[in-house]
Amino acid sequence: MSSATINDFLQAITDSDSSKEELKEIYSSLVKFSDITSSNKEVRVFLTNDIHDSESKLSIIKDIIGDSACSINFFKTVLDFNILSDLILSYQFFLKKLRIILDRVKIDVYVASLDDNKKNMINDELKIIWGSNLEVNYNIDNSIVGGIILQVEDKLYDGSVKGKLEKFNNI
Amino acid sequence: MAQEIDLLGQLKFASQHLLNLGVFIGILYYFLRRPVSSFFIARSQKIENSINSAKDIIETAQKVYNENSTKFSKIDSEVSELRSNSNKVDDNKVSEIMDNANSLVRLIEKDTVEIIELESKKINDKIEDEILNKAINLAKHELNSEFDESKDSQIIKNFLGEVKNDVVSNN
Repeated sequence: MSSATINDFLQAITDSDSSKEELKEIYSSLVKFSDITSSNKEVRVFLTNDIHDSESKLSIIKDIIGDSACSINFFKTVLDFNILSDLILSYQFFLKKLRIILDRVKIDVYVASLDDNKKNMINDELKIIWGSNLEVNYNIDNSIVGGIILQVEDKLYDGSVKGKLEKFNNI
Repeated sequence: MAQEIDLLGQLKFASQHLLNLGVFIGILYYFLRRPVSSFFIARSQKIENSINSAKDIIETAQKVYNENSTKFSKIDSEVSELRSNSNKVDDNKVSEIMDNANSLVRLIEKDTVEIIELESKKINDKIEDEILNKAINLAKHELNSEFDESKDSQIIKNFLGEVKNDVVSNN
């Protein structure tokens, strides 16, 4: 199934009566689901295999996402439409679309070292720039020496010492 | 008187004999004229035939000789033409080989010069890269040894200020 169908499906659930809270729940369930399916091959293979029935797939999904009723309904619909494989293949696209609807910005932060003071300072600065509805993931990477790298959705901001030295090297 | 009688007798004798001879010759002529004449005619015919056949043979021989002479002269001219052609081809081949050799030498010369230039450039670039890498590594080392949390936080803060300006100017 093409991403257009996933897109249509997304359009349908956002046009429905689902509240923002429900969409937030669906979003966080989808994040959990994508974390598991991208890291656990066995679960991914099980869920994408047509041999297994929808009921067993749904019970696995429930184990992953928990008891959120609206999220369970969402995955039930996905299973009914038989687009679970497409969802697994293009969950980044789906999550991004949901973030846009929820006015949420996903930021991956890469620093050489991290303590609470630095984390708070970075959080405050990020909130000033992109607002308070942020999804910030911190990663520690010693190879960047110092400074910071930000991956904001599709855009990369490289303020690391390593990046500056590489820029200098490329001149 | 006796002398006169003797002379007369002698004359008589001579005339008798002369007459006999004439008769004899006449008889001979009468009887032998035809066979001798036919013998000589046949003989002359035979000789004429022989002469004619000899003439024919000579003519045929002359013809053959002429033909062969023409052929020989033709062959001679062909041989000399072949010789001149072969000489021409040889000359052309030699000049062609010489031209090829000369152009090959020029190409090799040009390639060698280019290779030398490229290799020199490569070596220069390599040396420059090595110097640059050493400088960068040195800078990295210096930065690592002199880097502390306050400096890192300051760099991060400065960079986030730049990002803020960038985001604001883009919006």
